Amino acid sequence: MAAVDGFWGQAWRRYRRRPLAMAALLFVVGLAAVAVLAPAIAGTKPVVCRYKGRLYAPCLAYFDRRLEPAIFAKDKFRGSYPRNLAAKDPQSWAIWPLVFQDPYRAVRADEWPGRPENPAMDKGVPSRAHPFGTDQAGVDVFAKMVHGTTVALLVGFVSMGIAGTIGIVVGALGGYCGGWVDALTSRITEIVMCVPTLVLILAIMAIIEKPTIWHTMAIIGFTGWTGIARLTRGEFLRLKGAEYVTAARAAGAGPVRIMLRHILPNALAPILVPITFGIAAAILVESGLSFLGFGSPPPTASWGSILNGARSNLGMWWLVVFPGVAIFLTVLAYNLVGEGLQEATDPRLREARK
Amino acid sequence: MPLFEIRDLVTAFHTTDGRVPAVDGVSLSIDRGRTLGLVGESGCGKSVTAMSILRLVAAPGRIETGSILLDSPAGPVDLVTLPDSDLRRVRGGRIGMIFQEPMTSLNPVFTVGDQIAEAVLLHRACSRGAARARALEMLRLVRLADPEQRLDEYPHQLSGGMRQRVMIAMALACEPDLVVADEPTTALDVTIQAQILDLLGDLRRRLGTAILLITHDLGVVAETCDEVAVMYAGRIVERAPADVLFARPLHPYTIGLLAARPDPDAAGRAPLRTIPGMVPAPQRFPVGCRFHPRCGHARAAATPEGPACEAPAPELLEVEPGHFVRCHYAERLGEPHPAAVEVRFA
Repeated sequence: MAAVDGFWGQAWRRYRRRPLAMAALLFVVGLAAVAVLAPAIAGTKPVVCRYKGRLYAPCLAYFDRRLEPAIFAKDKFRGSYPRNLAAKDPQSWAIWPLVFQDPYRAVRADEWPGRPENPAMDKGVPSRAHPFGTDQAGVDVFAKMVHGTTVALLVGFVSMGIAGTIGIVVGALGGYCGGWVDALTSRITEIVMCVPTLVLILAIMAIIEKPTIWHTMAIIGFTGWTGIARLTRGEFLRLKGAEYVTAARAAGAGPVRIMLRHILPNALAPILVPITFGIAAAILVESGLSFLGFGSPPPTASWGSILNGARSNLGMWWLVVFPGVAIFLTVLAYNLVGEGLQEATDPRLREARK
Repeated sequence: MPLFEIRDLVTAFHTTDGRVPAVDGVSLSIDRGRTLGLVGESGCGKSVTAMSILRLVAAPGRIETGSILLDSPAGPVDLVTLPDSDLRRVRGGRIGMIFQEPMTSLNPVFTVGDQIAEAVLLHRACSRGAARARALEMLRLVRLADPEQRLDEYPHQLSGGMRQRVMIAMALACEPDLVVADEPTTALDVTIQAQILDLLGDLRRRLGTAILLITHDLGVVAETCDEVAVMYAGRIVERAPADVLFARPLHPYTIGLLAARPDPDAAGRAPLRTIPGMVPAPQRFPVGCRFHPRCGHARAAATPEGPACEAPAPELLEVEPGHFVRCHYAERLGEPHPAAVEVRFA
């Protein structure tokens, strides 16, 4: 008999046996690592530097502008660190990102000692200096893609976080309470299901003055919960009649406790599957929107917005191939993870194992 | 008053076929520390009675009338009308429940220890550690082997008998005054059944818990119960102390049930005796005595004007102290009657 090995432990054991699903999971974990480490992989701001006797991490500015230490603005660095650091404090030192390229602007001539200006337009063919090429404005595509990973992952997790929360709450209430509550939540679900997400996003993005990536995520989240709600409702309907739920009621557990502790953990596995697929779908929607120019506004680096750049310059094939492949692989990976999860937690397979 | 009393309970299901009274006027009572056996065939309403006690009957079922009284320091409380929040304190706190299917009555995603500890924490203000200690103590009490190790195991790692012990540990964790055991041994094999019944009897003696034992197994009743109530078609047809009931059953249905037990002394060739006919569906209960279409007595007593048993339903009459029978011929049942003969040829 195995040691402590609950439902999730068993699911993980079955998941691990599927090489494709494991590869996909590793890919997603790798993407997450790239997203978190993006400023240390590609950037023009030091990861860590010592300046005038103190330590700073200017690279955090890539996550939020407000994190850029004020002293560099005061000392008129104007975003260009290598020469300024050396010129204004000879004692200073810095740890630089792996690739000295900025996702938001072209690197100027001699900004990095001995490095020429980034090529622009069709001169930006992938080369040794720029493996993924540069775009019309001369911005390095590799740097853009590395920083775009954050957007791709964020879109998936934030929008599905919103959708998952709404879907589970609505579905759980409908399935557990039944009666008029169920009628109400089911009708609301059906109404939201009829809303064409893409058109709604286009409309709202047109109305909002300064649309950001967060608006896109919110809209995808607030419209994409219907499938999860339906599934959750079904699971709760099925499980509220389970004997261990009756046993919990007989032991004196209240409705909230029964829903959260006794039903939800048992319903979670099948609900996680559409959430995983939903992440993939959300990434696709965001890329599509960015491609159409309705997604994240220009300074934000998103894979879709790189594609958008290729629309007016069809000769620049590298603006299509690299982000396209990245989107394709990411969506594929999420779908494979979802499929692996489905098979690892499928109750029929669980029965077969007995 | 007794510890626990059900008075004229009616629980009906409102289906598309109309109203189905699964429990139709059941009354029974249990004194502190005593065991009452509720016996009957499948579908006679005994499980619905059990579920009604803690108001666990799911829609479309509903308790329509009657009261379920639990004696408390501040006087008896009626569980039928008790507010939900107070009822939750009774559930698991004063009345514990053991279910038929130990394979599915434990939550598959939590360890055994967590589940018993949860039952403790629901009713006692104590730390998680103390609840866990109590869980371990309970596992020892129900004589589960290797209790320390079992505490951290999941239900799927235990056998049926072990799970039923865990269920008993959960039901008794808060020292309830009454345990409702709904066919606790039906899903277990015979040797385990005996162990579990032994355990229940032992715990009752040690903890002074009253038990309502619901079963269709007369052998189980004979071994464990102080008093027996026989249920047929939603009603109690006979109630008596266990020794009296087995020595002198009066209602034709009880006689039929007892006669239908396999007799180990008889040669293997003797056919099993049965009661003719079928248990009526609750939608089509016969008028009058609900057993009369299957009752030899009713046929024998039939007059040219029609069987007397179709007259208004008989009441539960006390024919001798503590012995109640619901039959039109209650007074005459002490004499040998044709039912006994009828059964033999069935």
